[in-house]
Amino acid sequence: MNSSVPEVTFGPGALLVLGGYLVVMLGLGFLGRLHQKERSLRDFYLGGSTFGFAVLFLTLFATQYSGNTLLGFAGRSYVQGTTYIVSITFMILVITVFMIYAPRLFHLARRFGYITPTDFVYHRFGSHPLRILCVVLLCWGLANYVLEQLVAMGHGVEAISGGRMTFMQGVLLLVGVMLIYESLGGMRAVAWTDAVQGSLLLCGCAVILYTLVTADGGLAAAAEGIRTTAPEKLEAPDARGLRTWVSTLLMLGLGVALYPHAIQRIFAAKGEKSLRRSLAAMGFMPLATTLLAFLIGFIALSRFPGLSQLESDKVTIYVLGGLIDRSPVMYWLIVMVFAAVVAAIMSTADSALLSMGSMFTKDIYKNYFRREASAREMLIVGKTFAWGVMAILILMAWVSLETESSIWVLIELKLEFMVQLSPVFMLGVYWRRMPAAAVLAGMVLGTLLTLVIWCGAAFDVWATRSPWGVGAGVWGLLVNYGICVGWTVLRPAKLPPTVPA
Amino acid sequence: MPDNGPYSEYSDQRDPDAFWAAIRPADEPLRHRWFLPVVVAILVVSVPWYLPSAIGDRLALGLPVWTWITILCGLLLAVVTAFASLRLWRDGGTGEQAQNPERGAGGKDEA
Repeated sequence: MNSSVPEVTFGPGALLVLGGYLVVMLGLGFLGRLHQKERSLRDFYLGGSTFGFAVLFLTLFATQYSGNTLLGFAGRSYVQGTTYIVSITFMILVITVFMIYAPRLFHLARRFGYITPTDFVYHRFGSHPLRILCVVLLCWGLANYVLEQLVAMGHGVEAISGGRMTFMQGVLLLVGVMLIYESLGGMRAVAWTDAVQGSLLLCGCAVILYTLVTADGGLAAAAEGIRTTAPEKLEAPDARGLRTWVSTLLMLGLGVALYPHAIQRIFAAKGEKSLRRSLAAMGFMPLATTLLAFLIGFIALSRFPGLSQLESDKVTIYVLGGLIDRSPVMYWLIVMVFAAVVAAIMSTADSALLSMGSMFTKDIYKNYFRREASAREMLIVGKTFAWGVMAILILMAWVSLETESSIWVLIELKLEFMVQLSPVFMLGVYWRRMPAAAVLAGMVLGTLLTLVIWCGAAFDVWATRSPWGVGAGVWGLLVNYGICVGWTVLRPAKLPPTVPA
Repeated sequence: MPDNGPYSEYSDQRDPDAFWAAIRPADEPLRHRWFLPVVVAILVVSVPWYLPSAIGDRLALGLPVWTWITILCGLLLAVVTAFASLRLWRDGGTGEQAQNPERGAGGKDEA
């Protein structure tokens, strides 16, 4: 570890806060179970579509802003410098992209009763291979997403316990609590815990903002420090940096808007007003959360220069941990912030896991294994699937720890593939003449191109996985859109797709 | 359409004509011709491709001046998005939920 980073000791008070928080989460899980109206997939996976503005906004917020936002984004800001200000734009763009397809998707979901995003895919295109490929790509992305949260959980608990708990003990504790409340109450429990977690996160961000702009000379002192240690990180991007900027906007703006757990929250809205208000408010949230993550990385650059890639994921812990001994008030504020970080991590992981379970049972198990499966059987299968996936991911988190994998690498693997679903939703809701074959061909070739570029870089066949500064996933996406548009123009569907006999 | 009306779960029952007949909400942002060009224009300005090299690492309020342009563009994009969500999107359902025959497999999938 770099000698300039502080030894962070939170003391027993932090463990007390963490323990109390976990007990509240379990209580909400039991409460969610008590409020279950029926054993249907809609009730378990969408909370019966009963979420009004407050719960919907907080669950969207807690789900969208993960451990990665507060730990990974700050780390990326530290590594990349001020050009990572792009993170604010792409997180707002995610909500803008919702404005393109969400009105139609919500309208359809209300009328036809969709549970999963792939319900729409099959309904629109009537293609089994397309549905299966979408489920595979979405589950791939979600699995990596949860894995990223597990790594963040380990770091978070390790820090908050002051080393009393190891990385793996932290992962196992939080995952255990998460699986219990999720299995008990489904989406209802997840959304209610999200509401608590989202509130904590909002308060935590306010505390961080206050602390950052007031302590140790604030941003001006940090900028002067960076001028001394890494002046190039204050400069605007060069030509290649600009291409990377646009590529990042495309990949994250379009990719994050396709998170299935976010789409399912559209389905879970009580009504259009709740949804519209929630999304309107969500558009402003990056100016609080993402901006803060950026500022944490910015300040860390001046205070802890020369951190390794792995250590950069912990700059939030270092920056805030450095303030903890200043006063008792500051101590409890920082402890609350870290409770918020843990909350953000858990709320994102539980939502992604629930979404994976719903897609496996509804889209794969029910359609291709047991068409006659009852809701009870499907719920048991979904929960078993979630527990099994989690066991595998815990093992992978341990491996990633041993191999010093950085959080950012995991994010890229996730979005590079998920973004290939973009034409399915963005064009699929508007362009009736676009046939399933065009979409399937576009997705397959786009994903393959992404894989080839990625693997070529991984095996040193070529130097970079971002040729010309543009990410592999974006190259794949360009090919994907090209095929969808070209195919549809040349050979448009003559009739609407029909159900195979 | 009533909030929280009871409805079933989609179960592979496809009628493309019903699908396309039902797809358009009463109003949506893309139906307003200014929406997409304005979003694209904000994004174009948010990318610092046009800065003179003289701007260098000049600071304002502790951050490089050019980063403030991106932050302000972000704020503008959030305002436009919120306006689109609140004013340009109207679902327009009128309670057909409860009576609609295409909704799903027929009734709740009870345990």
